[in-house]
Amino acid sequence: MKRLRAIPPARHYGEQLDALLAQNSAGETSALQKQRQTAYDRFMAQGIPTRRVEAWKYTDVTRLAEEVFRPVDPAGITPQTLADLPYCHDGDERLVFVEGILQPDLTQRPDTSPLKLSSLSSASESAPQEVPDNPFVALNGALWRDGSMLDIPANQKLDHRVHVLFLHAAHSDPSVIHPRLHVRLGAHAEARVVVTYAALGDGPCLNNAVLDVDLAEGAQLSLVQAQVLNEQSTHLGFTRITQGRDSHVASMDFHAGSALARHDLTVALDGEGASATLNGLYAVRDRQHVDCHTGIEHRQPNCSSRQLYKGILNDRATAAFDGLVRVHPGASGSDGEQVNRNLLLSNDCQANAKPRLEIANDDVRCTHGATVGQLNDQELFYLESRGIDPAAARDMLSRGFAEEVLYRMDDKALHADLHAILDSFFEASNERD
Amino acid sequence: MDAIADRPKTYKYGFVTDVETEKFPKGLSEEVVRAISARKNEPDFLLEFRLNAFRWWKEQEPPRWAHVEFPPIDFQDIHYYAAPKSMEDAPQSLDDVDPELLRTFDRLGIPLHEREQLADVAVDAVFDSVSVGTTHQDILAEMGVIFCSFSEAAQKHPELIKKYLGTVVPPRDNFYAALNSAVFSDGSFVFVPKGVQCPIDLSTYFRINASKTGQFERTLIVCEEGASVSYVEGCTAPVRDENQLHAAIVELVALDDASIKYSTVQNWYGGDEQGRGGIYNFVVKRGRCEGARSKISWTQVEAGSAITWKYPSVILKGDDSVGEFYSVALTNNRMQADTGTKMVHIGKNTSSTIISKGISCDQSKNSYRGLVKVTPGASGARNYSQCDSMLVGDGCEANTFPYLEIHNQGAVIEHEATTSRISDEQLFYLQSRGLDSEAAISLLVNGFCKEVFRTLPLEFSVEAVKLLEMKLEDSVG
Repeated sequence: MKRLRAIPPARHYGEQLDALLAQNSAGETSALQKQRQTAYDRFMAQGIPTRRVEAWKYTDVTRLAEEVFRPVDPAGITPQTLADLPYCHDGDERLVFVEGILQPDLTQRPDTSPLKLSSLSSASESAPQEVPDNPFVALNGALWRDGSMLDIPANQKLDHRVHVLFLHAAHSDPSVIHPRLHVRLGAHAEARVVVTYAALGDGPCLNNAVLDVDLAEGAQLSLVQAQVLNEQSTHLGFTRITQGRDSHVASMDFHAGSALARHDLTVALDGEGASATLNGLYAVRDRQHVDCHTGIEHRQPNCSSRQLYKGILNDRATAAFDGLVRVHPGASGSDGEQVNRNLLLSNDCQANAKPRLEIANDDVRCTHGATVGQLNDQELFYLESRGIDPAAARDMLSRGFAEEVLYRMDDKALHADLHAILDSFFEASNERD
Repeated sequence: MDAIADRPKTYKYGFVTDVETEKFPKGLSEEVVRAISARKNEPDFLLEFRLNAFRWWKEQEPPRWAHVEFPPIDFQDIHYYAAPKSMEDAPQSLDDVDPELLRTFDRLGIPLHEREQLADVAVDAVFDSVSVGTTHQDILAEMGVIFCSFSEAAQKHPELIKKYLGTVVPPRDNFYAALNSAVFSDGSFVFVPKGVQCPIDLSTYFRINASKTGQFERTLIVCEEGASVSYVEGCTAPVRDENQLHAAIVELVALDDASIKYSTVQNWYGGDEQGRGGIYNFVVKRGRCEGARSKISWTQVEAGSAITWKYPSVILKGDDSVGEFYSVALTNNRMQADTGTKMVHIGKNTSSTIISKGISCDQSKNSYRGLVKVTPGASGARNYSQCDSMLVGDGCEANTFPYLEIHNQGAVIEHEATTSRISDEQLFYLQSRGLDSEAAISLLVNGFCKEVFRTLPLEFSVEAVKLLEMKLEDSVG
């Protein structure tokens, strides 16, 4: 029997598209509606990939071909709900999407903010030029309900943080959101953007996000993406960063929560002297699964990239990291570093790593490394000899392992947020021990 | 021969030996498989083995996942059996072998007559599809070591062949393994009985001579409890504008406390500057550390072939078994290499080491692809991998595709890779000391590969260094 490389998606996806097109609540132009149809056709043509496809070797999403997640209408979120969320800070410029739709009454914007906000429904220019080979990006293109374009004009430096929150409210029926966001920084602009994907209830949900980021010459962006969905949820993320000359991105990619998470993060270093720092941390337990893919394209000379992705695995959790650094023929003076480290806390977890280098220029310095291992016995022994009980010692060392990534964030408040999320991860792990 | 004299000096083994060759007609069918088996007068189980493999192969598509490009191979445009005519009545000893053949191996630096040069190496010489002769058989026989051509083994030791053939690389392992299992023509068989340390290095020399042929040899090495052997393989082919397919299988079995060291110096013709001609070297090499404390070590120096596509692997089944892989892969002109290893940890406290050095020059592509897999039961597994690439010239590619699949907490796995070019500072320093640039580069490349070269048996280490120097001369000079 020939093993299939893709499975045809079920009818309900088409029904959702038809409903969206018929409803047209945002008064979309026919051009935009046509884009949706095209994206849908592409999704159907590609189908749901099986593990026979190399990029999906470690992540099985075939159940998405049949499983039905439906969009839900936003309700039940008040400003008080947000105030209770640990990762919402006063002073942030905040955009809140509930069930994928922007809520103006929850949005919080300083009067003086130079950030220009527009709806993607009207900004047709946001249509990505290059279509990635990913059916879920196509699905997002067909079924997204609302999205925003964030423009930071040239030479503007945002002092405050911009927090974009995509919320699944509490409900029990399987729901879906296709978050869509486009962030643009003009020349020499500076900004800090945090994108959070969260679920307030325990109900199953599908979060299929697409984030586009463009940096013009000399722009600087600190980007944090935190996925803290619930244990019933599926997260599919696609982030595409394009960088101009001498621009810099510092990205933090954080995953703790969903049953299954898959994130593709691609960075195109399209201008000479651009640099990108990608940090990532994933913590999984029970039967959670996370799969982080990074792809850095060194297209121009003298660009540099740094990647550090670390994973903590417990119980029967599985994780995969697939990182690619590609140096194109003209990109001399490229400097790439990629490191993936995994900490296994139980005997039943599985870590897979695929750090890849594709180099087509001789004037480069590229390295990568990957390690998988457990806590160091000698370190444990040392702590125990100082009177620390074994469980606490394990805890300390595991947190220290995570801290190597987290301390790279300049933002102290965010640093504390992510630590708080990790706390609950360790607590849940320790309860079982 | 004159036409070849005009060619660059790159490939000194590019000559054709003028011997009468007997070939089967082109194409592959059940008849051809049966005919090969009949020609070798094989026992029935081997014919069945071949036919099973062939029937499965017919249903399969050639794999395409490697990072190499080549036009589809027409498997019906290949002669699946070629042998020098003089071999028809199998020679009883080396004295009966066609002197032309002996001269060929002499020119290749592999004297089949037991003379001073490689006095402590026993050689099995394979010319196109058949084994021409095997040296030192008497010394080995005294120790109980069996070293002979595969065809001979099938006649004299069918029980051993039946027991071990296809146990490491099953016929349905993959497309090319099935093809080989159906049509393999000859190869070497080594059996080292319990407790015997094979006193001399064993070696097989493969030579493709006839045009439009494929070479499908099969090597099987078995080391019983406590035995050890060091085995070396070398290969060359004439310069031709066509591509020739070489799809071999090597199987190694190491029982308790056994140790097998397998070294390859591969120098098939790699095609010219425009990428015309050369050998497609699609080989399946795998060893199984069956017993506790067994050890299998692969060393390869890959300096030839238009396309190299192979992954010498070790299945670490026995507790405390050890797998090693040392590789230097040099590509120049338009050669392509996608090579690496697989280490599959199954037993407890198994360890593996991978050292891979890739050097790409000119317009070539050089990829390392490797898998380290630790299965749930393999507690205490340890792996260290290091893959370094060096680029010489800005038209080449160096890629690294490592896979780490770790299903056991107790495993300690480390992988490191670097990609760089020869540093100008180092070159300048050496040149300021009076070395010309060629010598300086050669010295630096040698240093880069040293970790691998020192694992080769001495004579081959010298050969490997020379081989690399020769290849680099044309690329850098």
